[in-house]
Amino acid sequence: MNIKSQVRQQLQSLMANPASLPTTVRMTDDDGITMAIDFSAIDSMSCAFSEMTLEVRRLQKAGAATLEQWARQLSQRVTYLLEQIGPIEIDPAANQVLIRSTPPDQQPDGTTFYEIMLSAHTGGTFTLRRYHAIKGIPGRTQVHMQVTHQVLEKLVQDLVDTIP
Amino acid sequence: MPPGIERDVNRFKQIVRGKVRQNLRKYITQGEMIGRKGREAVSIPIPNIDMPHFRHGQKGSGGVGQGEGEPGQPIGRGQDPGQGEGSAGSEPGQHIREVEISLAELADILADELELPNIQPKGQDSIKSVKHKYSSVRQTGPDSLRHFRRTFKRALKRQISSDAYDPIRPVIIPTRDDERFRSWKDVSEPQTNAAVIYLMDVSGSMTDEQKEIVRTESFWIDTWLRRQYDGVQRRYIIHDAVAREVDEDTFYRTRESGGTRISSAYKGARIIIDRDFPPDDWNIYCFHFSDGDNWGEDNQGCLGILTETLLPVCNLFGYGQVQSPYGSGDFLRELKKIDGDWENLILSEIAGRDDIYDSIKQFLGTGR
Repeated sequence: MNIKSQVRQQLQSLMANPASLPTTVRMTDDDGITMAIDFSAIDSMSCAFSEMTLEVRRLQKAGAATLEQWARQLSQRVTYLLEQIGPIEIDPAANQVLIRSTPPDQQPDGTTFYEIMLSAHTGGTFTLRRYHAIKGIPGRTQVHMQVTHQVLEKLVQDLVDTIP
Repeated sequence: MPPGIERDVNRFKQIVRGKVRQNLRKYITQGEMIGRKGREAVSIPIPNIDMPHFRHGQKGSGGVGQGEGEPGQPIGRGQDPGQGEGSAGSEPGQHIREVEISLAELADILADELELPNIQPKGQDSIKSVKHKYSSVRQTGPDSLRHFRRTFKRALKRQISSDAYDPIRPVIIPTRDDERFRSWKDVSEPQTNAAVIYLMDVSGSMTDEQKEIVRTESFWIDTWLRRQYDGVQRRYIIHDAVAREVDEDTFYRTRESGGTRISSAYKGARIIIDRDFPPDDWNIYCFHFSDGDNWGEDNQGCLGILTETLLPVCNLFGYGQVQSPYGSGDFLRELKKIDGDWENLILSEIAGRDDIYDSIKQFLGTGR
């Protein structure tokens, strides 16, 4: 079963049993791609999660060029989140690519943005988080992302489709 | 310069200094004067200084001293109202005058305003600088260096000894052999020297606005250190995941898309110190600016290099964390862990242009 179908199943299962939240849901498809989502809340239309990771074994030894290609395809495809995303930093030495909201959402009290790290370092991983930085205070705090079930399924599908 | 004019010039300089002092925070935060920087002076736009002056009316339009007058009678006829389109504006006009002020004066104003203590140099004046002193005389040289008095005296002596001098008609005509010219000697003087190493993160998350803040702050730090030391040498390092030494222009204009590994810049700084600036002879300053978005595992490496190789040899290590559109990273927190152990480590958070003023005070207020 592909990842998207498994995510749909997991959402239904969590809706039936919301007491199990917060929880981390893991799914693996036939190609060995593993996804984990840290869910924190759910209702009939939407859900909240703090982190989404994707492990792609075949990208374990991928170079920076492959990761950059993935980053660019993702940035073109994922256009339905709260902000546009784009590659900010590419580190060929460590085989890592940093993608962030471009531009971030800037409010009078601070800034909120998505951050995606693509890395070949630890077995070809994609990690999605959202951060909030308060103006004048160094450092950032991780915040939950809220999406509808439909958006989550589309995001998962786009992630898998753009893997180089 | 005649004494009257000299007095006026001094008064004018005082007025200019007063205006600069009054607007110093604005000059610092807006970085207005950096683009106008010369070698020894900067040109500063200051609001026009109103000087009283006479205005002449039209010829033959009457006025004081022409004919009889009655008490209360206005002087002169005045002009007829002209024809024109539009109405007069209601706001006062803005007159800007550019004046030059030396970097040394600027540093003094900065010191007064920020109450900066003078730096106590690290000690040994072991660096020798060669200076030219015009303290000798020789027989050849350009006309511009001709020593008139000596030339005249030699010509006079010659004419007296050869009986060619007539006291009734004292005409002295120097020949080529009489001519003497000023000449210089090379003199070695001990001086205290400072080496300033600027390090900047130019990774993808640092935008042009952040770099402009760094540029402004570096200008003021530079101005102050040049005032405090006889000789200041500057080096520039930019880094993303790798560091490289660059010239000043490249330093402020480069943008890279790489990741951020601050340790690479610290290693680069250590290489420059080892190569060019033996710590026993030089007062070493490092100023590092970044948005603090260092890639996780690199933080420990940075602290190691800092505490083992840089902090022990630096008079001052300043770290300025500039806030980027993504907020401010964690590197400052890491440095705060060792902040208490090192008096020469100064940390500063620069959220925007308005913080530059206080940040400079933090960096330079230690007197190191």
